[in-house]
Amino acid sequence: MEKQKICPKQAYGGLKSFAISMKPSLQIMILLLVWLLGFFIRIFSVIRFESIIHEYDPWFNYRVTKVLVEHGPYKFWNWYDHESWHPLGRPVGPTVYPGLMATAGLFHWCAHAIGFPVDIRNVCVFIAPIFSGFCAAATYLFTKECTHREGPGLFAAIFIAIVPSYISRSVAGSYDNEGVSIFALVLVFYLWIKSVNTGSILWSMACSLSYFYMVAAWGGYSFIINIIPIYVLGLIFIKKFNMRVYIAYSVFYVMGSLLAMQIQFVNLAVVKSSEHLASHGVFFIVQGYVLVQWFKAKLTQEQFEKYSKLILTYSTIGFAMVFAYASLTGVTRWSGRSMTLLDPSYAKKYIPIIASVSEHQPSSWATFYTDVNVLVIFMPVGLYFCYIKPTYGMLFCALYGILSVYFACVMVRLMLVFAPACCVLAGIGTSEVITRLIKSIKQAFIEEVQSEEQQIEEEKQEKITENDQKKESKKGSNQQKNSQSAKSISKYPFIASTVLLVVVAYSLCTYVFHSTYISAEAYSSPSIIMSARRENGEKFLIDDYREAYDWIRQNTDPADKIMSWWDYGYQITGMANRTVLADGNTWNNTHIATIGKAFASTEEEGYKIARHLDADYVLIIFGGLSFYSGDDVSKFIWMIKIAQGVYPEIVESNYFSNGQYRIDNQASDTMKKSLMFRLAYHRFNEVSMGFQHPRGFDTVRNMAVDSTPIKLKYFTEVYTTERWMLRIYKVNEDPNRDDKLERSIL
Amino acid sequence: MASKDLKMMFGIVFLLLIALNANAIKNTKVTRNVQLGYPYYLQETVIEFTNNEKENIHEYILLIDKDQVDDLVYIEVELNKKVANTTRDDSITIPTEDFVPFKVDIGTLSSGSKARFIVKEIYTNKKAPYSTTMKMHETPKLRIIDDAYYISLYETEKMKSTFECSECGSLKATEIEGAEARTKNVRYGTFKNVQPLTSEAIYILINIDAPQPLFSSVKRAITISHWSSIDVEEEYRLKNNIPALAGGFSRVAYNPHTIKYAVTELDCELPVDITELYYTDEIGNITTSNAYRGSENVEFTIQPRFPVMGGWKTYWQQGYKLPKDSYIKETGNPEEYEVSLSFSHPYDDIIAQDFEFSITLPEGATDTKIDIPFEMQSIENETVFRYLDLFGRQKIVMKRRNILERVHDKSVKVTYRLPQSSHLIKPVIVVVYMFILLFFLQQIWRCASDSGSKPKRE
Repeated sequence: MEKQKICPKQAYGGLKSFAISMKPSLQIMILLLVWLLGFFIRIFSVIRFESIIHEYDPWFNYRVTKVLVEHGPYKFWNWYDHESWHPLGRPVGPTVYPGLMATAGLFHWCAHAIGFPVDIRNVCVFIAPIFSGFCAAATYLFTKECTHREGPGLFAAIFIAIVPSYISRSVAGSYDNEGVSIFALVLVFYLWIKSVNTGSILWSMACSLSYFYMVAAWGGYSFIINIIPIYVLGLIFIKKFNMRVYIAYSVFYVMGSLLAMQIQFVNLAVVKSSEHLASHGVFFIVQGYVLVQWFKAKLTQEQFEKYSKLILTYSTIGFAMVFAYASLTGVTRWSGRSMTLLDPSYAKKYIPIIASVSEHQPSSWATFYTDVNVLVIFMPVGLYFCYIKPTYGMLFCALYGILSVYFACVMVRLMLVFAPACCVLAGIGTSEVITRLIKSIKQAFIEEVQSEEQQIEEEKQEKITENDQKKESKKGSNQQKNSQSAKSISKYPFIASTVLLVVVAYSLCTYVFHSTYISAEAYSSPSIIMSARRENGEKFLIDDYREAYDWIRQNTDPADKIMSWWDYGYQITGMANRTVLADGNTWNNTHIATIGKAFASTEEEGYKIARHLDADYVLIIFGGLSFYSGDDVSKFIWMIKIAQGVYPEIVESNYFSNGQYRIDNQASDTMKKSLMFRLAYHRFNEVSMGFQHPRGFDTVRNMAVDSTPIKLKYFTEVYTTERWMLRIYKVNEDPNRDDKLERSIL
Repeated sequence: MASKDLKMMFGIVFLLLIALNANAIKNTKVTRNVQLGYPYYLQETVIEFTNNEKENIHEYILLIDKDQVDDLVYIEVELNKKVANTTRDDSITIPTEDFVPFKVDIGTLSSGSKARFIVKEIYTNKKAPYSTTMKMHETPKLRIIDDAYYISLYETEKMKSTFECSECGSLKATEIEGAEARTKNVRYGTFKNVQPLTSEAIYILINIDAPQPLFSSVKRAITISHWSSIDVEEEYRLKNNIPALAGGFSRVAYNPHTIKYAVTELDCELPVDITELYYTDEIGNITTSNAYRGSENVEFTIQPRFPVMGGWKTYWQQGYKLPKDSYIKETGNPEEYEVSLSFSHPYDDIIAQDFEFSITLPEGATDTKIDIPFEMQSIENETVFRYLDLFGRQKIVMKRRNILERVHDKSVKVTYRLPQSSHLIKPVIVVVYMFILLFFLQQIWRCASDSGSKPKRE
């Protein structure tokens, strides 16, 4: 009876020592499981659809990677792509961030070297899910380095592995820069904090190298090159600057900048662009600060104050003038996207092409909830603990959190930069909260055990010395003391902490379910294949995109050029293997505006532009028959806006009738005559849409198309897919010009 | 000098003998029937002949037009319900240069006796689009350039040719004397006492509302593995050999029930024990296919991504796995295995103009013997690397023109020796890799834990 009652304590102690001895193994196991979870949550698309590259940009990345793998790095570096931006072409080597392709190429090469001849497509499809595991590991290390504890690290690792925001850009098939660069971002931060904590040149070099990888992988590196100087500057202000930070920053700045210049696409932007200005400024400030500190040690107080005032005044004025000169004269320039970050309404006013991309819109609250879910609650908790224990790492976390919240609010796309910060802070918050709650529960439990033990001892004592009243009363006072001291350790009441723990655990569970659900439902569609259900519940796939692209691939001349809105450029070069006039690398606004003008003009005018641009076919997307709302008729507004920016003869209001965007009988005359309208609705009014709707009923616009028959004079319909989603027209040849003859002569 | 004269004399004597021999055979009756309804050109000729010579004869010579010999998919002579050996023999001298002689081994035919055989010939490219283009609502027109006579090296007493096309909407043919044309067939003859090599070119024009699918190339690749299974992958390039569609395509006008000349669906039968069947192309899975496993085979129905109209082309890959246990057999000799698989692609009626058959053997296979039922144009050896290969595998690539499943569905037998030791290489490689991986992990772990403890010591 007695022995049994003493057991819990022994068991507890045994369990504790066992748990401590198993700690490293448990950590590795947890990280491995997190990796697996992160991987499997991202392959819904492969299971539901197939191993295929998604969306738009990934097709370009995939195509470039194929060139890299098939022809080697030199060919890739010097590749001039004639298939895009006809007739201009595009030098691919100097205009891409090659990090992603190099990574995939390296994976492919390694796999082949050890006897696994995997297809490059599969490498590209699965690289982002694999990197999500690396990212989780890096987040673990980063959080651990900041807090010097494993708990927050493990929480942060699992958070980031399944955070929907990151999943949205790293599902299998989403072969985009973000897939690898979020890992690089977190790794840079980890190594940065490591070098700040140690003051070691070695870690600083490692940090610069990972920064180099980040620069090679994604334009988002400018976030790093701004946040680190801001952090250093902040440390100076709060008087926490020391030689370790000095070493870390100096090495990072010099090595990082030099390495960044090695990337062709960045090159002299390191010196020229305003995005890097902060890093240069802070570098000089840091040197000056250290110099000042040195002088301060050498000079008397008076001398020092006199000189410092003088120098400070002149240098501030000088710096302000240089900055103003540089910004005003445009020696250094802020890119459109960066300007949008500083002034969210900038793009809307000046650059419609940036504003037209949905991921450049400001985020809404719903986005936050969908993309980070309950972390949005735990994050401020983490932030609170960062200010309570302001170590270097914690301060950095806090800064990163605050800055990224701002950026995420400005642009939906930058939710991705916010996600790691959110995960780290939420990891810290959750871990702290849970630790405290468990501590208080444990205290209560120990208290109970102790009181039980004391009871037993009491009984013993009672048996031995029943009559000794004096001793008993002493014991009683001792007991009271003990329980009081126990109560002072346990901060929260047992029930409250248990309930709170359950609530936290429950919300963490909902996070996991939410992430899985979002991943499965929202982010795992390849967007070129769609799944739908028939009325009887049977699932079927809509594969019109590939139907049309394959038609182009098989049945047009390899030298033919396809004119389409720029969104589809990458897919056409990737899947149909034909030359396009514009694609997602929207570097030439005029060229895109010209295409927009062609679609916005009359058929004859559009034909002239198409001939002028040397297009042989025109491809448009039309969703009116199959409820596909993201079609060219919807995007037409943006085409008009962009064309208007370059060609004033295109007037947006002419396309509206009484301020409404209509395609029915009441549509404006300009709209009805526009090439886009004529190509999209060619012979559509002959299509019967069932009993409820009139002929030619557009299911997206919810109105029947203008009933005047459209007879094309300058274009011939050569193919329309099963559900009318893609329509291909041939640009008729000039009667007195023989293209084939011309080609054979030239 | 003298020896040269002698050779010439022998030559003349030889020619004379052949000429005599030619006179020795006389066709009593030649009945030729041509079917135009299939995607290919099928001709069946019944030839009855007598031996007028005093001596026994052993061979009969058939003539095939020189321009068409490359389009000849298949020739078979059935004599007494048995297939007679028929080979092209360019050493035989014939009095015309426009034809290529084919020698039929007829056994021994004694003087004065009669014989009868059926010649079955299949050609590709003989049916060509009549006009270069057609509109969507029109019916495809095809033309055939042919001969009203069956061209023979021998004199023929009675000769008749019939061209039939029951699937056609209409049929028109050159009218010559002795021709009798109806809506779906035309008959030339009976011609009497036709001299050797008599010919008269004719045109036949048909309206046929059916697709004319043709594989411009097919590649059938087989990979044998003793570790997993036998992989079969086929690549197809298909075209619809009717006049090209002009004047545009419209979904309003397109109706699969009324427009029958487009290739919209193809069926084939695959072995019953296949697994992991797929149907893809360069840009991924093609979602329109169905497979049904029956008792004897798998019925596989595919639809191209788009209806293949006149002049359009399409490309796809299909493949599957076969269980190794039922196909790789031990021959009885130590370490020797045998695999037998079908040679042709599985689409019955479609001719493959360029056909490539390749077979990849397991790594380490030696003493390869390959038994092919046909003469191949080229056989080459390559070395390829697949999963966990150190030295590469032998790949035998064979090429031939004009393959039709209906007649070329025979099996290829490959025999090779595979030492027991080579079965062990792959597991050993995996073990070594695991060892290296764990070793590196261990080293990294040690480095990491060393560097991690540094700041603590400070």
